[in-house]
Amino acid sequence: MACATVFQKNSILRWGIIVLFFALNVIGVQCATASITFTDITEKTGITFKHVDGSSGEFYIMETISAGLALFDYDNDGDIDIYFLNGSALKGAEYKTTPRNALYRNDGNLKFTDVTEQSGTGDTGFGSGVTIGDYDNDGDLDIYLNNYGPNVLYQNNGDGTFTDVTKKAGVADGARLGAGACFLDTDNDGDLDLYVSRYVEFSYDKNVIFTIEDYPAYPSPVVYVPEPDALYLNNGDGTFTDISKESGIAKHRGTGMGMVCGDYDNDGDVDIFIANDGIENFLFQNNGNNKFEEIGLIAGVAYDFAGKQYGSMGVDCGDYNNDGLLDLYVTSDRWTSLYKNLGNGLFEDVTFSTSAGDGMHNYASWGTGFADFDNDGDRDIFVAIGHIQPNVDKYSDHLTYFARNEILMNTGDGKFVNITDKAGDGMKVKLSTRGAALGDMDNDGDIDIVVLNSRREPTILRNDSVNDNHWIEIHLKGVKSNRNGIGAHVKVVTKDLSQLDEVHSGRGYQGHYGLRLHFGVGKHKKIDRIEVKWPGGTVDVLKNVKADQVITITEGKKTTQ
Amino acid sequence: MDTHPYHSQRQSANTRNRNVSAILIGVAIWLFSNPAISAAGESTARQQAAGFLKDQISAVSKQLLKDFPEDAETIKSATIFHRQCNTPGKAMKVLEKGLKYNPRNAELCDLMGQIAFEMGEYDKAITYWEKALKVSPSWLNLNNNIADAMLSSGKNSEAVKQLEESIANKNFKALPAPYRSRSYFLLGQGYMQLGKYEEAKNHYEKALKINPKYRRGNYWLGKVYLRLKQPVKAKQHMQIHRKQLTAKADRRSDLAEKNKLAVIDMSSNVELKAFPEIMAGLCLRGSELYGAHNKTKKSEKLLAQGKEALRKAITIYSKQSDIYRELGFLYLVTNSNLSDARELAEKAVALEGSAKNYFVLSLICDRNFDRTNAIIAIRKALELEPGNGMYRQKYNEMKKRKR
Repeated sequence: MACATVFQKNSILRWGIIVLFFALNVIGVQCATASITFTDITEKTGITFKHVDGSSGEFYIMETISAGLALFDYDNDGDIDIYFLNGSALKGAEYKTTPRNALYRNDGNLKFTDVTEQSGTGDTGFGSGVTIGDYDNDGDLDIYLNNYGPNVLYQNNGDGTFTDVTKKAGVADGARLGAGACFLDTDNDGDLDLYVSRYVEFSYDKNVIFTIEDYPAYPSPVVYVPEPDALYLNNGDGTFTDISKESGIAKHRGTGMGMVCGDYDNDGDVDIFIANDGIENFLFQNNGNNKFEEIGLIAGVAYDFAGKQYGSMGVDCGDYNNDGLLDLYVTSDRWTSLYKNLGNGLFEDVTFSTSAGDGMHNYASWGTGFADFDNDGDRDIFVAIGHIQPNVDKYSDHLTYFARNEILMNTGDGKFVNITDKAGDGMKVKLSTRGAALGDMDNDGDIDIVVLNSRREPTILRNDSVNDNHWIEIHLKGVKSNRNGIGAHVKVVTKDLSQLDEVHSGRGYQGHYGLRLHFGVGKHKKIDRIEVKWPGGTVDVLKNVKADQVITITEGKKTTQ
Repeated sequence: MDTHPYHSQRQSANTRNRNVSAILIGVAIWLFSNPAISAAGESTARQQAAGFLKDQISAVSKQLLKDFPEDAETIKSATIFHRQCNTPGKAMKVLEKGLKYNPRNAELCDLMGQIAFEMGEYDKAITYWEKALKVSPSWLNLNNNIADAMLSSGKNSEAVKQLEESIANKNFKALPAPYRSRSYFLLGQGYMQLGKYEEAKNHYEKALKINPKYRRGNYWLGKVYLRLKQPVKAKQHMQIHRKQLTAKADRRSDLAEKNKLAVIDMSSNVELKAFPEIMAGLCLRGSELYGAHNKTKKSEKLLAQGKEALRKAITIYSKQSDIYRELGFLYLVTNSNLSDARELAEKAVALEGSAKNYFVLSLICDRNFDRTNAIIAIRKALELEPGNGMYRQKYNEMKKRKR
């Protein structure tokens, strides 16, 4: 009897363990599948934009780099609008309708209206890069376009329309092949200066075509002469002065594509990272007085893990490990690189040890961004993928022109796991993406994604992640500093969690997003402390702020709106 | 007909020198190293020659894999062919099938490891390289490959252990210098990732001592000096690295100038360098196999097919030295048309003074009883590749012989 009782008890225990095991497994699977989920809602948004790359069969190099996009609130109505760049007919190409850029107004509930015509923002130049900033500090956001051909500065008139003020401002930048651009306050004088990256010296008579396995192919930029970039200083009167030479920027010829500006060394002035295609990346350290020194090699961000030059495309900066230092994530024609900021002026390539490159091998990657997609208090990574060569499917048995984008979830211990397979139908879309922009498009507290696909319609991905996590979004209003606090550092502290972010103009792949900072704060319903360090050096601190809201912090006022 | 160690060695060299880069990386290297850019017409001819040989190799390899599915040499050649064609998926299929017949063939396991590594499948690469090492424990360079894959997947401690054990092996010192320097460099990488900077520095220095031109050795030594807060030394090494890259950049600028209105053929440049050797190798191996199975006619037919294919490739594109060399080599090993063979080898050398071309010329001169020129040619090959054991051995043999 005694034996039977023990047996029965053991049996019950065993069954209990088995049931528990399966239950935990099921829960585990559900958690894994539900952690970050995106749904493709493009068709329901009313967006009809279609990108063209201007191709005529001549395989001009700029066709591959078009284009970035911007997310920003052009009409100050509290929701984020979308600006898509477009190519234009290159030599030999013809279109029935002239391609142009497009501005879509967010009407709420993820419905958009094309307001290109009425806003006057439909530039018909060949679009490469775009950045957004309030260069005239008048309270509304202006648009700068970096084109193949003359660039364009659209001044926001504050009534839903824009005026082309390029000529007056003096920022057309010749008729070059441009790429990324950023507004930044290089001298912390309260107005935004402008950095313009240039790709290569191109003219139709210098066109080079590659062939791969008998198929025509786009050339590598290494067969063209690289170009030095340009830095324009804001004169404060609506005009800019080219200080490329005096600043030291023009000393360095590069093949600049995506770029980001950030104070990586926390010394109070903004530094500049340029992702160069096929040659070493540049990190321009701001030495004050508008002088810059290129230190990419010494800082450890010029090359990849192996010390090789690679074809960098896009870049974002963010604090992935919550150590109070801004790290860099760089996309390229072959893999991606995560550079961890060591805090002593040096970066370490930690791509392999953090698994931040998982799933990216051999694919060309473009737009990217750090964002806390599941609001758990650490920044995940989105990577836009798309092959450069449209004929690749014909000669390769493992690469395709269309490919899915990738998402890497931060596991909270300084590592990443590629969860694309489980991240919803939105991540199954296979096109050839270029620009990617991240923002809370429906104001529901989580970060959505908009991508521009080469030669196709864009994709709008709604974040449908299910969790009980909390969040806060912070919009800055500069008074002494530039109007949107570009360059400001914001620290959000909850009990056991301290997070840092910085306001950027221009990031990712030749695009712009994220003027409204977003922080996931996990289970915390209240933020203990928000600290804003403005570009001029002043600090504002707010305490005990309720989570799950969008707040505006005005420089010098210790209250929120 | 006789077989020659030249052929088996070059096949094995292809296999053992793990080329971690895909075809486009090879193309990039070619782009930096080859200042001559073709005009559009020349490019088309080269494409046609490469396409022609590709079709020929495809047909021959299919036939041989059907008739001799277990033959490891044929499997290797077919795999190398698919890698050259940028179809690693097909290469993997050939290998998977081949490994069923040859599960203990270290070279096939190594090839599988290489392809998996190139495709970013590091765990798979490690599995196959470990298999190869189990079969062939003295093949110490496999430890480098395994450690490289471990480092690529963030398994830094395991990589360090693997390399420490390999370096402690009594046979390590007998490894050729490039492999030894690679072991030290990778060990430096492992220690660097583990934050053990002093150990990392020591191993980078060892790698550079063995091979002062170790690619990116100075870059990493510079990086580790930065970690050790010795910025002056760091800058010195970083500058050496930058100088090496600047030299490439200067060549790039030259290229840009010369490239007006050019068409650059990215694949056939690489392929046409490899295809003639693969074609000759497959035909020789197939002929040997058919011969061993008493299928003499098939054996002879295959050799004739190989020669004809190379002859035709020359008529399509006459500027690729490798085609001449391989046709000459086929004549040599079949003991036919020896005077033609010499002409072909001389043409190959005139087009490109590579070690391989000089070596084959030397063999052909030797067979034509011209010992003097044979020695001159092999000396030239040795000048270009001083570490090549086979060239050295052949040279010594020739010198020892009275006539």
